[in-house]
Amino acid sequence: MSKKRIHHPVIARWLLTRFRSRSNHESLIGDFDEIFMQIQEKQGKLKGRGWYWIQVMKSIPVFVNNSINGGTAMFINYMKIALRNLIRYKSFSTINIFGLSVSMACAFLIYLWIQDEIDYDRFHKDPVSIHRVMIDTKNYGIWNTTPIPLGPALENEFPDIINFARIQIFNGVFRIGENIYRERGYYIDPEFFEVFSYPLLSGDAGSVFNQLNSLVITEEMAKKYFGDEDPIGKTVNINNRDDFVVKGVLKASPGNSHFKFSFLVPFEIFRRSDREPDSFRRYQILTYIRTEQGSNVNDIEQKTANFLKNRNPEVNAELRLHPVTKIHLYNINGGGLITYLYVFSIIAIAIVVLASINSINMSTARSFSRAKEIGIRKINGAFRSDLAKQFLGEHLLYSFLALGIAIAASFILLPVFRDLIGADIPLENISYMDILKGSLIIGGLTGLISSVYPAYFLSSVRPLRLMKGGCIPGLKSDKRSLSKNALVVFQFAVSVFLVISTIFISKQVGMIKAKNLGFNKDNIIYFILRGNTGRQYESFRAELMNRQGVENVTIVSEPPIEISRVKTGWKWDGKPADIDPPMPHLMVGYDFFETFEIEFLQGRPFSRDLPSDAGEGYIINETAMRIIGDINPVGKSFAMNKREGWKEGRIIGVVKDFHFESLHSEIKPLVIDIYPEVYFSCVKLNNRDIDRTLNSISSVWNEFEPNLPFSYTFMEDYFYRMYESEDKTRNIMKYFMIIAVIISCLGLFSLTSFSIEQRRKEVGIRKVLGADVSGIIRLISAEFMLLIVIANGIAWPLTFISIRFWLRDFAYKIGIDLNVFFIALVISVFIASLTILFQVVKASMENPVDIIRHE
Amino acid sequence: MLTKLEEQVLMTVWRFKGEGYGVNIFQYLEEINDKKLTLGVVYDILERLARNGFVKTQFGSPTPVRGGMRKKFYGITDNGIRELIKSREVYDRVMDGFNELLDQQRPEDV
Repeated sequence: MSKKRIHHPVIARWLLTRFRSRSNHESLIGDFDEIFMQIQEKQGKLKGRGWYWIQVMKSIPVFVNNSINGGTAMFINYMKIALRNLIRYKSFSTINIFGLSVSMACAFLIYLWIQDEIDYDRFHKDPVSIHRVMIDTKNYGIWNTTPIPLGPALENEFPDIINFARIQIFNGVFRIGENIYRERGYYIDPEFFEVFSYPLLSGDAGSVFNQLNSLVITEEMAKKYFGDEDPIGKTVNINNRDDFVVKGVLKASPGNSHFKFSFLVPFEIFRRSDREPDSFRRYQILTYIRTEQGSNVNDIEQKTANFLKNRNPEVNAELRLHPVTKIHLYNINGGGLITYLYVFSIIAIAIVVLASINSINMSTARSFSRAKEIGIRKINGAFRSDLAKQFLGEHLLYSFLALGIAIAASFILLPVFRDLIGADIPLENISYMDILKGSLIIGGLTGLISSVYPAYFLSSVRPLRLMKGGCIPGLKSDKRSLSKNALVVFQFAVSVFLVISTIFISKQVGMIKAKNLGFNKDNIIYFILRGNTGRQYESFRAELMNRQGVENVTIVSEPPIEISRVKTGWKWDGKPADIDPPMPHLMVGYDFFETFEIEFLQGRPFSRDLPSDAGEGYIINETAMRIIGDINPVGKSFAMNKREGWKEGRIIGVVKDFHFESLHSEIKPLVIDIYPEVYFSCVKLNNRDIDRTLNSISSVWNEFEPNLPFSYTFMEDYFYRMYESEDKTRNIMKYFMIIAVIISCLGLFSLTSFSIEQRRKEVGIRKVLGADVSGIIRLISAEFMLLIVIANGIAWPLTFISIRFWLRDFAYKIGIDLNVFFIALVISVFIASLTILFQVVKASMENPVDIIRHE
Repeated sequence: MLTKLEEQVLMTVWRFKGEGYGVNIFQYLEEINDKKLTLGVVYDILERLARNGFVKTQFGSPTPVRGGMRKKFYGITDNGIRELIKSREVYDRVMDGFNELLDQQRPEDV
């Protein structure tokens, strides 16, 4: 027997120990087990087990009834009382639970969002060892593009770097029968599969890229193109140029990633097509490295920092490493999504705190009606800790009740929230564990926050005074009232903060959208010229100009609202030898200035009639003119350093400054010249029937280039997209603000009704002594209005500082207008008076006889 | 004043002379009562008796039979004996004249 393994009913045994003090466990379990074993031996396993369970189940109530702190029996009583209170004070329970659930739903949505965002690129094996190599150019910020030979060189030179993968974006147009698809893909090194964890559904990661014409596609793309057929070995034509053979299919990405692609081709193709594939000067591809597991990133960064300088002493750039898990959250030049994650989680927490404050205020206010209950409990021997436990439990009950509602609400609101936040939060990615964890954290924290104070305060009262007076003494006048008021002040301070911030953010975003950019971006579409539309640009343009609704057509090297090409090495008359200012460079077609309605300060635009303009004409902006330091630069010589030598020329015109970058930065000096090759085309449409005009442009495109799809973007959309995060912030802030204001008002509403309930007799007596209704209204409101004013006083400086901080990012910003603060004051006082007015008026209109006679 | 079950438990503890622990006390009680009992109830009573100073407890040494779990032995104290005497006196007073009464009125099956 003793050799045989005994299987005790583990769960039953565990249950048993829950209800006994630890010192008794041993002998208790020993005894149970002994009898259990006897029965098992005599009557079989099943009987033994049955006996054990029945004994445990029957014993538990006995233990519970007699356990030293009265635990469960009292617990049931507490819950009973809590539910009774919940049902008896319906309006307050509703306010309480409504506020809590709304705030928790906010918190829960934000939690889901954050879970989704911080999950990016975490699915790779040992993700902390993967880094993107970046180049700190010192003068022009940090770049994520790197030279082609950097990856292999790093791997050879530094033993800590065990692998590298180079990536270059490859946008391809695929043709399957009649259908044309535009897909985003990457040129990648075969090591990509070692550095990153992208499992192949079919094909072998080691050999898929053995041939240059290999192609790996995603599962999704395979379905789209080949349906249920096996895609391996199929030939696909990309960009109407090269044939590729499908060699592998990638499994759907196991998690969120900053990589967005649907196909992969060998990097070698790109390397071979490059002019100087071994040059360390040109930064054009992305390089990722995998370091030895557990190696110190700072060490590696220090060792590799001077890598570029060692190759070329003229270069002042240093290498930096950006952990792959941070790419999605942190911008390389500072800031990024992480700021918003922080800001919104702080606001979500603040809103939960606001709702918890309502809970606190309501339960302390209600302590009047509960004074007798508390007194009797105390007289019957309840310890302070018992009472504290009771209130804690009650609030946990409320908060978990609210949590249930909140979770249901968040799932209903999730689609709305997705739109608002602009992030796709796929439900299938959220594990139940996450939800459970989030719920427990949010529910538990809320319960705790909202119960600590009532538990402390309500349990501290003295029973005798309580029973005599029937109310908790000193609730109105002394420090207790101070803390209650402090909570109201805090609520309104948060609301005022959100109101003012929302107003300023709206103003700033509105200002940007309405700002005169110095050019007209309206009704302009732009698209990349491809194939024949680029090769036969002039006739393409002529055909477009013939169409109704097309006002002008021009070409540019980049959309003129986001110019990224910055060059040094300019030369002009009288240039001091020691300066070499970097200036953005834009290349345009002849009709650029007419199309965008850019005004000239001096000189003239490029002209088709003067062939010399194309080779040697330069147009600069006002800021560039100031840098040159010449108020009459037209006609002066000007030159640009190109790879093949100096391009000498003259300045033929000066344009007024226009905003060719986002308004986050100031206008920079700009040099414009004529572009010999074409890239982007911009078409100005007139206002009438834009849809028809677009159709007719599309048909012209199809005449010239039927093999490639026509797709365009409106300049305005592009422009607004630059302020997307500000827009998003404004929208979310707006909702948060409304919720915060509502919750604060709910709190104020319930608080006034309680406070008036207390003061009914006072009001009655005042009226008997001759006070009029308006005097009483003033008396009661004044107290609350003072709180609102104090809340404003606290919120103003804090808001001022944070708005200043936020505006720092904009070169063009609104002034911080003090009127907004006063508007917020007026709004908050107005809303607060509306909230309390009904209660106050009702109280002051009551017939004093009814109230006083009651005694 | 001891309840009936408390008297039984206390008497049983005495009977085992310090050798009584959960199992044999419980099984003896089931035997004399001729019905199934709840182990928890017995523990509850033992604990209450201990709290009132009627029994004292002592841990035995661990034995492999019980998986190394020690037994908790119960022994009666002088106070416990006094309490049992009191119970006995009450019992005697209650039962005084029992036999005479039974003679006068006896159910048929007894």
